[in-house]
Amino acid sequence: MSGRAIQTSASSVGSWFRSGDPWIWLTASAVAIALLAMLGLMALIGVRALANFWPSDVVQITYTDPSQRSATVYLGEVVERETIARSQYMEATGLTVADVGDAATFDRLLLKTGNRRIAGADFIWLYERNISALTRPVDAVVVERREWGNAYGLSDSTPQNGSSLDGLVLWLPAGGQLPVAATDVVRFWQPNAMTLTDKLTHYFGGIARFLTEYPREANTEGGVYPAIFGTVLMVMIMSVLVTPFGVLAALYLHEYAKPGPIVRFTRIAVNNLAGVPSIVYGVFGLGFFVYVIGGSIDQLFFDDRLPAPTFGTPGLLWASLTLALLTLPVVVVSTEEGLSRAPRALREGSLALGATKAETLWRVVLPVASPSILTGIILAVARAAGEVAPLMLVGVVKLAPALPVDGEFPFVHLERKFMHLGFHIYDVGFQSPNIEAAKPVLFATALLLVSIVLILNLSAYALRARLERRYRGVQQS
Amino acid sequence: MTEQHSDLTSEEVVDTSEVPITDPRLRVRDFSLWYGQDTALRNVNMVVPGQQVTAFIGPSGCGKSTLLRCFNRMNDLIPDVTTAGTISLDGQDILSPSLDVSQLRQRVGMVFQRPNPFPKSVFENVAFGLRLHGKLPQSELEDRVESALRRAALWDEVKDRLSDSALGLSGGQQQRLVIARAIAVEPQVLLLDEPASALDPISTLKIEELISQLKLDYTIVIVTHNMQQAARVSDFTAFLYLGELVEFGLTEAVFTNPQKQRTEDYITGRYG
Amino acid sequence: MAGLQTAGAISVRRGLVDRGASVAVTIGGFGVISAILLLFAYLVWVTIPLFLPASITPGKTLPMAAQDVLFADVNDTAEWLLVLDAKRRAMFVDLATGTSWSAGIADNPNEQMVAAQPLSGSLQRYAILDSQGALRFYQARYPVSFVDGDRRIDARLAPLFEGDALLSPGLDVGGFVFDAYFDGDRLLIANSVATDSGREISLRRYSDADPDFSLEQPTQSSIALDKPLLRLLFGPQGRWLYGLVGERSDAAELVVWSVSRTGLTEQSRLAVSVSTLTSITPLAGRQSVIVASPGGELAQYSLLRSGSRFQMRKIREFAPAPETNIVIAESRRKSFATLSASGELSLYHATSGQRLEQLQIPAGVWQFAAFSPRADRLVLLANSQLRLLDVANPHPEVSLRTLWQRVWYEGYDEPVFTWQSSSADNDIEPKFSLTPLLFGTLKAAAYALLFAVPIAVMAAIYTAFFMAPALRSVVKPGIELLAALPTVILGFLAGLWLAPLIERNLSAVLSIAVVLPPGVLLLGALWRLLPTRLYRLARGWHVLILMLPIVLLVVVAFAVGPVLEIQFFGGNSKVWLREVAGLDYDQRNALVVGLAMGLAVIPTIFTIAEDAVYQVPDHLRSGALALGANHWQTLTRVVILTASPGIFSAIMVGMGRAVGETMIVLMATGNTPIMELNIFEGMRTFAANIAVELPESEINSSHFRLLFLTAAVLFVITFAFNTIAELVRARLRTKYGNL
Repeated sequence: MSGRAIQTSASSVGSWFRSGDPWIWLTASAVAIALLAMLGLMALIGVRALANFWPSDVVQITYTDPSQRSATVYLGEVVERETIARSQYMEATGLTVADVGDAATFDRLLLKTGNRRIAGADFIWLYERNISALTRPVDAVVVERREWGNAYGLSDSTPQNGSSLDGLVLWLPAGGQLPVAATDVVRFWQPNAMTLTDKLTHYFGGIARFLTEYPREANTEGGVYPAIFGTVLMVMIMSVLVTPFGVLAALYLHEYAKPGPIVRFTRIAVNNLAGVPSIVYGVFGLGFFVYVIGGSIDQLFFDDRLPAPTFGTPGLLWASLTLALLTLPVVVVSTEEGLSRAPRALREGSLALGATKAETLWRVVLPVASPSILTGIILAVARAAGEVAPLMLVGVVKLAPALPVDGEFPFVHLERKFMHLGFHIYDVGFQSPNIEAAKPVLFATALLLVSIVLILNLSAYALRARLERRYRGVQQS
Repeated sequence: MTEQHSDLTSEEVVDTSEVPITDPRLRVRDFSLWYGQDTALRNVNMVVPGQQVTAFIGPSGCGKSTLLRCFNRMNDLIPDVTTAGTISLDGQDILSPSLDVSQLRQRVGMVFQRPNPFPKSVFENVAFGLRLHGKLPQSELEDRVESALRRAALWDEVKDRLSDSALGLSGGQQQRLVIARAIAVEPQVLLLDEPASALDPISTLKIEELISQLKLDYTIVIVTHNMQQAARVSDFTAFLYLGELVEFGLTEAVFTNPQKQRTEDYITGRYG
Repeated sequence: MAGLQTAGAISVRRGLVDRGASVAVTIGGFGVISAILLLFAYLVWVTIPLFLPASITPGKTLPMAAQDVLFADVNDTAEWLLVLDAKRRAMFVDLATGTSWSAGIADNPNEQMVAAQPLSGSLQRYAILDSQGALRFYQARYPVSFVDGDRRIDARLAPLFEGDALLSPGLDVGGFVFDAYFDGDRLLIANSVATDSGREISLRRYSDADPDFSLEQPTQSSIALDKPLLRLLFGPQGRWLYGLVGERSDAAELVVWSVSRTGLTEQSRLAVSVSTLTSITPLAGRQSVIVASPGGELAQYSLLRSGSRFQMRKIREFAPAPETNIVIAESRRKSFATLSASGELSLYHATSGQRLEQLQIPAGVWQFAAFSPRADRLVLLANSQLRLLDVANPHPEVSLRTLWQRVWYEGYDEPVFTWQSSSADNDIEPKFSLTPLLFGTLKAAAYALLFAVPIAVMAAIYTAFFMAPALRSVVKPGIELLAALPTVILGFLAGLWLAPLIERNLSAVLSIAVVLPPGVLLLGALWRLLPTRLYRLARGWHVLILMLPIVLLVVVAFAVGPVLEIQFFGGNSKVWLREVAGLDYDQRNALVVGLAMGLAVIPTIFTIAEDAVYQVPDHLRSGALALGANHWQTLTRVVILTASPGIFSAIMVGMGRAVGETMIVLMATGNTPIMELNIFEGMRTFAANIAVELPESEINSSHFRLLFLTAAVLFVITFAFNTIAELVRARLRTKYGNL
């Protein structure tokens, strides 16, 4: 490409290839794919997570089932549309070639019909070619219930959006009615009758509830407050543990240990520990922290409760310790990097004033290194917040009966098991019976976790950039 | 060692009795220093007079900085250094392993080639040494910082920006700040290791003026590359070459009437 | 002026603080670093017992009142021994003190006991036959009570049922064989019967409808037999009956009958290829028997399906044990011991096929031997005395051979690689082959790298060498940020979004891979037709130009996917795969894992490779460019060549990450430990296996230790990869410094 202006005759394909231009395009496409994959991922999570809080319209569909040829009326929200191939259509409907006609593709939509207790399932796929009527009844009501998921129906009275004291009676379009007791109502709304302001209020209210409420229905509905709480608390305890130890180790390696092959090897070893799979730390945590140390603590201090273990079972403390060990290399490496930012001249200046080594480190070197240390801690926190595999072994549970902090002495219960956003995703996504119904919670939790981790990483990045500007003077001298 | 003695007439070279010293402060006797296997200083004998400026001159690698750094034991920081002989400050052996190095460095301050202010405020830089030696009342601390800055001829330039970062000062200001920092702890001896080599001519001039002011209160030892500077600011001059002290005497005498051929060659610029 | 040595109080304190800090940092830092090393040491330490040899330590000899021991059994805590002898004496012996007392079943002291054996299918229950042909059933009970704080066990033998089963009045003691099975629901008794017309086997079945089991009115059936019966044994769950038949013991045949409500059906017959038969002993679970001969031959015969029938087949031979006269099996594992007349005691494990320990004990008139249920004690009995031996054999089923080679397990047609760690009960042996897990680990990593390496390396080269600096300053941290993405997110999207998406649009996804590179080249060629000024615009910004076309390409591919499906795959690509290519399709498969884990690995490889290319000293490329090389030639002939160790080390680090990644594999595959290279099937990796199984694993069991072993293996693999990568990079840095 550099020689374009000179190679005026180079229009043949052969010379184009010789110029290397095609390969440049190909390598560029690799970057484009990586970027698109990343942006696509973020967009997917973001859109799917945030769209679910929006009160979408409730539609009433008159539908003729392709195999049964009888018309039914459905009421619900359209959650997904897709196009499937003929073979998949045949597989799904059980129709033969003769029945299907010659269309290559079929459009269908996924309708969330709720009323699980009556219909047995929350969702139904409807083929668009078989839909004979689609309306948006103004009196359609969606009720979020404490049990059995959402209820959809029509209401002749016009209840106010919000909650009701007397309970509700919904008319089902297919006939019959569905009473909902007041105690069973979380909230209800009439999406087709809502103004934009109503919808926005509903939307942000939904997000707030998601962040502050406890989960319901085996975690597939409700909020993730205990998981947020558990994640944050675990990460806080972890950083309290990892910071002093990480800094001590780095100080030792960089300032006190006699330089030589052993220190060099140790440095490489510590560095490489960052690449050891996290599950290995989990195994160590379970074996050593939980069974060996926790078991010994139980024998020494909680003898009366044995054989029921107190600390000899996975819990918050062991999870924090395990993740502290896991993130130790991150803190050690960035602290060392920070220590090497303090140039020799600075240390000599301090020593020449009669400061001892400890005073020099404390008053001159550590302040210079502190932004690096902070960066390391933030990165460690970001890593710990997103780590799930080791936690599955050392203390996380799908549903903790109580938060690890409460009003009961000693207030912080380090031996308790806790909930965690990352594990919540794994558990809801892979262990719950009705995954389709859990998807809103899943995507919202995923977005929350991704945001936390990315914000932490970005702030570490910004911090590093700032400190590089700030200490440029020190570096040059 | 025997070879050293055979070719070395150091006993004659450094006949300190010839130098008119009234107030000997630092005394170096038969001092040698090795970095690992390499000899850096060989059998140095000299006396640094009090309240005077003594300049060390000589080509790069002659050992002048090494000798300077011995006066406050900064060479301790380098692994694998061995020494022989003695250096005493006011009659007291400063190479003794039992010596409190931190106290020594408080009495023997040092300023380096490149200004090395701490990434703290101007005030905190000067107060740094003071804070090390116990808690002072804030007012006294302020007085002593001010006095040090005044003596370093920096007060007027920084009095309005004491809480600004010292890294924002110019190179010359930074170097004077570092001097202020060193004299704030009231040392007896001030070691200057090529203090102006990284500075522009105007700043250099200011530093030189400052040195002549400071010698009223302090014993100053300065290492310099710059012969004119040595001639301008110092009272005594020591010429080192390849780790040996070749000549030591009154600056005037060394520059106008060197006793040794090597000194003359160096001063007249035949090598170096 | 104060002297230097006479330091003030403050100075002393400062000195102390300094020294204290030095000591504290050294201890603390050293401690932290050793804690890190402890991590690895601990993993290894937990696994060591797996490979320690078994040991048998002779213990004390105790006097005992029994003569002609028929049977003995040790209780679960290995504190008590129940002994029955031919003089109808039943007694308990306290194994700590040697004191013994009668178990009190002597209804009729004139009767002799002729046989006693444990009831198969249950523990601590026994069938005792007297010379009158009455078969009685007992249960040993060891109730614990506390008297004045002392733990006391009141051992006793209680009748299991009312009454007795009369097998054959006036029994011919010499030629009589029987076995009984009881699982709490039904009681089966099989015995030989001599009739006028010849021989037959009688089977009685006591109804499971009656909760109190009166021993009356059994369902009875019989089957004729052509040869004398030497031994009868019930097989697993009482559904099989094994018989050893033959005129002589050197020409015996193993017969298998199936047991049903209607009676016995012969399944198969197999001539036992042992010269002369000494004994036949069932292993735990009764799926196999150990056959021993006086010549020392020792073999395992196991019940296998052969066509529609079941038969005994010899699946393994053991190191010979000459003159063996006693063979005893553990009750919960597949270990057994042999004792020869000369006093040679050998301990074997059937599945691993190895002799674990051999020990010479005083030759003697040992009449019986019994393992404690936990197999930590072995008791040998002779007239008037018994001898205790302590057995330490915690992990007999694990050896390097069973971990890595094919093993012939009970119930399998041939030796296989299988990981099946948990089973419903003790009768089915756990199968600990690490090979399928290693295979799965490498398969997942390989597919991930297959996707990640080309993209990451090419992207690194472009970003470092061609990209406009302004763009690079955004793209590089952007891709690096992807490395921080929690893998649980990637796994969740892979399992719940990508896997179904690919399943529905397989032909579209495959066509993207085929069409994308030519499409990009085509775009490049078309771009060339633009006027020079516009053409130049692309320099450094190709990526942005490509973004939209790639998105369009993907959209088009998904749109025409169904058409492709009809055109090339007969309308259903999964059916096509199965029928034409012979490949099975799982929804969560290696393709999904490869894409998701590839995406997780790309930033790792990209960052390191990009640094390596970017840091190639400038004068090298200027030199090449000055010689008239174009950018591409400079890149391929100078830059990449110089940076190749860095790229190699990037791939090593990426491999380390792919090998140990847990959540993505856990969520994006079905986690079945199969050994299939097929990209459309799943796998189970070491890491996922640990995550799935360790929480359920019993502490310090073989399974527990094996999971630690896999963790240690993961540690070593990743640590080695990373160290190699680091060393290569360090050398590269030196090289760049010298260039």
